[in-house]
Amino acid sequence: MEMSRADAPGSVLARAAVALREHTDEGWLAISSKVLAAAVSAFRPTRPIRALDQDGQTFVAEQVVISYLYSAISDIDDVAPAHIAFGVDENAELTSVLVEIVVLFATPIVPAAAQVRAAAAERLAAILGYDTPPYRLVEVNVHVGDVTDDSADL
Amino acid sequence: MLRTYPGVPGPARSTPSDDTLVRRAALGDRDAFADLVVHHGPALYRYAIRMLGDAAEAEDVVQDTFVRAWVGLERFRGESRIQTWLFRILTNRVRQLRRAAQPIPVDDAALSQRPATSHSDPEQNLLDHELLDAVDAALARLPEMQRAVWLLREVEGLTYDEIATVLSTSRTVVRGQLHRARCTLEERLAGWK
Repeated sequence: MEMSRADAPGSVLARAAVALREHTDEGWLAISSKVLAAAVSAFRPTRPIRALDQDGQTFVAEQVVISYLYSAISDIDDVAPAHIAFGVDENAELTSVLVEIVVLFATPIVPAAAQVRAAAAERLAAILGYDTPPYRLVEVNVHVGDVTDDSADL
Repeated sequence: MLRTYPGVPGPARSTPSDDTLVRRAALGDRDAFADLVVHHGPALYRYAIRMLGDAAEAEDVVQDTFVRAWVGLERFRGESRIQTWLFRILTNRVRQLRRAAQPIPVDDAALSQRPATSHSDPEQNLLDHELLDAVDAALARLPEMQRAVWLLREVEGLTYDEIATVLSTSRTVVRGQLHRARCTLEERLAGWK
């Protein structure tokens, strides 16, 4: 077992380690907002996905599509998205969608998966123009990858 | 709305785990990433400033660590804890910065300047302040590897294996460096009892 000498109650090193751990450097407090802003504004590499548009070409960043699906699936009770992956062909057209989900323990899985599939398909149709002529269907597969008994982890 | 089930524990926590925050942030959830920054930022900054001895450099490497984490989170597969992954990114940035820097004589006085801290109890703050001054001065004089190992083990609570991963070394080296660091710090803080 990895014993930590700093765990020994009363030792100077123990008090020092605790003091270091419990204090928040003011330097961090001064920069934390800036650090967060810089991080989330950083560009994530993403692929373009072609939307159906009769008036010209429209492409939507994969990350944008993921964000919309994430939002739609998160609205479903007792289910949370864990991973979303797209198949995209050489013309940047969406060929398949895989949505991995986490479900709350004892949630009926097949109906939950059906809800996820329907929500994803509906949102994709709205984002990528599949709900207007020429209509297009994309296969949405759902994988239940985990279960949790703690709703905080959905 | 959440349903409840007979015999099944109800909601146990009001806050999501790190794994959950990572999962959400990887899907682009900025609020989840903000929670990760709030959870891990203080420790990363605490480590960085004691490894670099310079607030501006510490800010740069911590910011860069979170930028890289945000951009690369989708590739994080959970082989380690997110804390270990973040410390590994940070350590690489600290090393790059050190390699790029011109070698300059170490100024113990500058290194031992303790970063300002906050605490709600003024009396405890004073005691901690004095102790931290002494510890920071002792830490600043430790070799870099010993300082890193001691901070990661004793302050941040990483396991030997996690420290070995963060520092790209072996568990045996971690154990040896930690032993030396403890002995040296105990000697240097002997009068502080």
